[in-house]
Amino acid sequence: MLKRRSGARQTQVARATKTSGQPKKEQSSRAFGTVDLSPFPAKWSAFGKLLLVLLVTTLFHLAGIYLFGSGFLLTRLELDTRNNCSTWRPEGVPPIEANITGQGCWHAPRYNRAVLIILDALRFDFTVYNETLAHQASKSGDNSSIPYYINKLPILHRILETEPEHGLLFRVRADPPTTTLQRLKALTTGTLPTFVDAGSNFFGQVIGEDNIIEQFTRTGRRVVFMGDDTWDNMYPNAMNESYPYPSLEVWDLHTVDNGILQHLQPTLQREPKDWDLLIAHFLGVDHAGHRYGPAHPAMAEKLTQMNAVLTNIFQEVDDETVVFVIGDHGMDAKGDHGGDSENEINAGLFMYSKRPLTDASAAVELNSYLRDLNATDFGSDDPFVFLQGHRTMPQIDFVPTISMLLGIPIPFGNLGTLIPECFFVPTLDLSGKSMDYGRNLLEAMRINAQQVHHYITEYSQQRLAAKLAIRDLKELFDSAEMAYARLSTNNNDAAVTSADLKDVYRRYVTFTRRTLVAARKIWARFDVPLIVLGSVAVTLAFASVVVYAKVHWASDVSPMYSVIGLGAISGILLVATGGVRKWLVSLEDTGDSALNPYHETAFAISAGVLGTYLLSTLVQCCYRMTKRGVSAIISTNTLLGLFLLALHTLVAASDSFTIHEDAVTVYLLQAFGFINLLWSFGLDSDTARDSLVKYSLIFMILTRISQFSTICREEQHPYCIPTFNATPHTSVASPSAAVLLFLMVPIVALAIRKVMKASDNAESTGKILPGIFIPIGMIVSAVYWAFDTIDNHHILSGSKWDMAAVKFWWARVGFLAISTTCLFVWTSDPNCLGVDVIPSAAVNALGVTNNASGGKTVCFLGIPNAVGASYFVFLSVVYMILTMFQKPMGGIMLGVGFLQIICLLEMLHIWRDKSSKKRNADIAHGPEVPVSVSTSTSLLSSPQSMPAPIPAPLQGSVVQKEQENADWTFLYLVALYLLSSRFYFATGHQTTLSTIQWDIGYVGVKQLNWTISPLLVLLNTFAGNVLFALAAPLLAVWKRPLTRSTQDQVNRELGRAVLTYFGMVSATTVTATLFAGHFRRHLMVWRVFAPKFFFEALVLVVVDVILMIGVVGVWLPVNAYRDFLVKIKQLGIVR
Amino acid sequence: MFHPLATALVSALISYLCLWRFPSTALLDNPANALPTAITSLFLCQIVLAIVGAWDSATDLKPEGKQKNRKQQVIEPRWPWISSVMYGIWWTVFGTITFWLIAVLFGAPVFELVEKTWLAAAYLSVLAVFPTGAALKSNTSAWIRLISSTGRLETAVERMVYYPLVMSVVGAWFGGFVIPLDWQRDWQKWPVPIVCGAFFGSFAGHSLSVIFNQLAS
Repeated sequence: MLKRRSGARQTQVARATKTSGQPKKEQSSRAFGTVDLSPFPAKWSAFGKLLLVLLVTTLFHLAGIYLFGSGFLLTRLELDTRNNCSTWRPEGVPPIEANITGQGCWHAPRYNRAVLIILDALRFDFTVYNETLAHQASKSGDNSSIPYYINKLPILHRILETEPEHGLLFRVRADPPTTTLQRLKALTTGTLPTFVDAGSNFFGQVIGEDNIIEQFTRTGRRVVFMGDDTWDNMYPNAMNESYPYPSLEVWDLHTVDNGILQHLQPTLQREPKDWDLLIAHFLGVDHAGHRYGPAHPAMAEKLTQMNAVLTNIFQEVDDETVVFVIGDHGMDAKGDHGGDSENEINAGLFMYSKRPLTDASAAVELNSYLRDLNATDFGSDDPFVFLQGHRTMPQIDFVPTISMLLGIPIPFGNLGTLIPECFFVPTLDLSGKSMDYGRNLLEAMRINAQQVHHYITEYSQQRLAAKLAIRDLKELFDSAEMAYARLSTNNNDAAVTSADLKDVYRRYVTFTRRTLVAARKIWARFDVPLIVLGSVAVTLAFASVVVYAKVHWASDVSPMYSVIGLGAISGILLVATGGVRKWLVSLEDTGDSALNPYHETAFAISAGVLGTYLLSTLVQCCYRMTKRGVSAIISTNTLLGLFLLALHTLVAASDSFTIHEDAVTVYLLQAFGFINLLWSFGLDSDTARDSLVKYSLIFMILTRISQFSTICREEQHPYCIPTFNATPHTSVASPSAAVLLFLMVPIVALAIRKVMKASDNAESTGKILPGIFIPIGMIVSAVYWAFDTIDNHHILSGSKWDMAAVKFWWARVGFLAISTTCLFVWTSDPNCLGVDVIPSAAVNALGVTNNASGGKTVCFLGIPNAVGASYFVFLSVVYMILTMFQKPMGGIMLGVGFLQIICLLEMLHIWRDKSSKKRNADIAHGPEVPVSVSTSTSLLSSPQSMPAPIPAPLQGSVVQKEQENADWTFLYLVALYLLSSRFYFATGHQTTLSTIQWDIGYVGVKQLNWTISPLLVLLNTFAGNVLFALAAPLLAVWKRPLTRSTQDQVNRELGRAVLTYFGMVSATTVTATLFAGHFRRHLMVWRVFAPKFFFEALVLVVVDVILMIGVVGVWLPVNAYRDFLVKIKQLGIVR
Repeated sequence: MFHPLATALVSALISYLCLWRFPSTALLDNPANALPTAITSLFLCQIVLAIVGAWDSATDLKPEGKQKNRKQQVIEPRWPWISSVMYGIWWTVFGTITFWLIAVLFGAPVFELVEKTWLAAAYLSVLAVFPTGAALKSNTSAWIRLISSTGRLETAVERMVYYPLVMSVVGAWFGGFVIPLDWQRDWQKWPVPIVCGAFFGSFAGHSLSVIFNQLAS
């Protein structure tokens, strides 16, 4: 009985005589498990220095990220100005009241109603009828030579052939990114999308700018919408009638389309027509493309179905209606889209009306207009009029065209130019005067140009740095206005020739097109000088962290501060003289660079400081090497760690690896686990081997389990099935996950208790928190998520329970109470130490010399792991708090991750213990070594001695031992870092904006609260990163007894662990930054590289804050342990 | 019985022929068809190699004393190759199951592509584990020396089987790297990268084993 108990406990026999001044004098010192219990001066300075280093390096990183980001993430300001009827009135027409239904606003409407059919991913070549192919096929009677997507919309061809005045076919070119949301935004607002539109809602989908939907409803018209539910998110409550269908399920080719077809026919046939704009957004073609690609029978089937739909619509509409059939973007050869390849940006636009759209008699004249435009230089190589014989134009030209045709104001931010074909007809103007076709087009174009001019003037006033080349554009506009004025002054109709009209028209078009080109330049260009500056700055910051951790942290060498100061000054001087600027301007054509003095100063200071720091360190090291010789042999552990780390870091170099990063982390972690397993077979000690094998296997199995939870990113289709939520297209957890979450509670709670018991730390705080409060906290959070699941599945919807209120109060009271209690208990007494009194005879029986036989001996429990265990309790509390803000599946996975931390801790301890033992054979009287649980039997046979002054020849061995320990710690830190990445994915996230779980922001708050909600979302998103970064200091202090003699070493290792971890995060951030800059022209830059950069930059900041908290979290137990030692000495327990 | 160089050459040759020449359909076109043939033929070839004694422990350069001990204890079996083949087969079966488990742990799907995962595991096992099994039989300490990769290899036979074993597993691991790339090539389909990686890895392993044997002797 006693034996077992003693074996399981690290007893500290306090009897071992200790005099206050000289703790380990004469004593026989062969006491069982003796640790030096003399109080030590806890040095805050080491911790403070570590915090300072973390802070300073983060600031340098942030400077680099800021520089890079301002060159890379070009932002466009969303202006919330709205155009209305009175914004612009043609001269001579009295201002009218807004909201007069059906009345033209800026220009006389040609149609009363519009039907807007959006065929998602309707590539231009889908709409063109290929006669040669059709001819060949009909001759040979073999249709297989025609691709599945060609000639499947014959209705368009038939209209163009039989009634050419009623149909118009255009190639419209979409601006990248060619994703549906961005395209719909452009199609309704007429603007160019950028990655970040700085506006009132940063990430939401709601459109904040002026748009045609709003213009329709504001002028008292009714909008009916059916199809892709993206519209509903963009324009919540804007439609008069709305029939949205889910758009995310790419596998489903028919639900959305069939849903539309249910409503389309009745709406078209309604009498009287109670709608003015009917939008139908079909997704079938896009989904067929994503799922099968264009060259597949399913595509032919879908297009044929669309052909029938269009035929029907063209029949049903009346004379007062114009129909637009438009593709929001194209698709590449695989059927995907998002980038800027020709196939993706070329979409089709077909217009149809029962009333002739164009005037056949004016066809020749119109052609001369177009040829004229074609010959005009708009300052860009992009085709604006013809491409390969087809009429071509920017896609946003749709916006002014539909606005002017229907007589509504053009949206404020529009940059498109109206399509001349639709306005080259004689008409009556608003005051009832008749206009011929040339005049009509000119008047309409003038309104268009006025609107564009108004917009760019406003924009450049709002954002002074916007280099819109506003002066040149203004000149163009003024010259067009002047030419127009000349026309009006000689208002003699005879004198105004059609050539004059054409010339003025051309001037207006030149202005709008050039504006578009200028806008594309500033919103779709990268600022290369800033990107270069940022890349250099972050790389220097990363190198400095690594060098500092390796060379200067807790070493006898100190950085050459004076040289660094000189570096900073010379950097500033360089800016003052304008040297940097001159060099940058010579880099690439930098006409649009937004480089400003702030950027330059930030760069000069960080580059000056870090550059000189690195250089001076290099000199220092070279000097030392010449004196001491090179003794750098990289151990296998370090090599393996570096290798795995490098592979993970280089993930950012490839879009495929970034997309599948969740699988990559598993692959690398398993390699770590597997090699650990193989190595452990080589151990001699059976107990150590068995537990290492056990922990390695558990580690590997848990890693694999974590892969079962995933929320797939779009690009992972079709190789990924989302399992995070109940079904792929909900964000509701499945009930089984909620039940499993309850099962995780006892597993994790028992694991924590077992760990605490194993090192005898289940005492005091180590008993209360893991035994009572943490399990209660986990149950509280599991209950909350059970409520949430019940609520979401409407299980109790009929009963009197108001689940929303129950959840609210449960989260408020429960979460708040348990987490504050835990943190309060821990901070007020972090010590997990206990005292026990055992008969001295028992100690004697264990082979410890004890002269006071018959008496009793006081044992202190948990001394060897005093700091580690206490910090472990803190980590458990943080884990408990983090699970509160994880959905059930995320909570389960975080539990799995916590178990993996325990595995790592136990394995690392055994390896470190092993290496100490090996050294110990060489050193007869080595210093204190950590006492392990599993090898306590061997401890008895070779009792530890008290630290004696180390003989000089053995100094080397001690250093080597520390080095070996550090190697193991490094390898395990790499594993920890890989785990942090793994559990980012396992908790239901991907490096895309769309996987952020916004609904977490509503836990415990009734309405979106701008202080609490973002914090909750951050805790949810970065739970993996937070938990594992917080575990990094633990690896350094776990089961390392803290005594007067080991204190410095523990501090050293703690700092090294923290800085190494930060260096690893920094390495990933730097590669993500560099590769995002390098691949700025890559197809996937906005979908893959930019979000990755964004994410890593955020992780860097989060991890930095967490590591600082971690350092403080180690300081508290160290301090408390010191107090404990002082107290027992004062009480005279230790003599 | 054999010179290490001869064994390495023959092993490399048969692994090449069995994977790339014998199957009627090319591996890249239809791995599910080609792999069974490759595995079966390789298995038979390995058995033949075991029968002729390619990994016969008689070539061991063991210390004198040990040799004596063994002679006293163990009666020389009439057909020593029988135990070689039997152990080879037993370890191959064990290796197949282990490799399947490892593949799943590393992220292979559990419920899909089951057959292909098993084929890859079987191939890896026949390619690398069979020779090891035939050579080491039930010598636990030698197995641990090999697997843990920390102990020194003691005999020429151990070196001969160790490097191909380790390198084919490492090769298979590196082979997995190409799977996520979006190049849409035939050789990216599961389990071709694993099989190819193992094949090239064992090739490198044979070369290494020859080199290290040369260095050791």
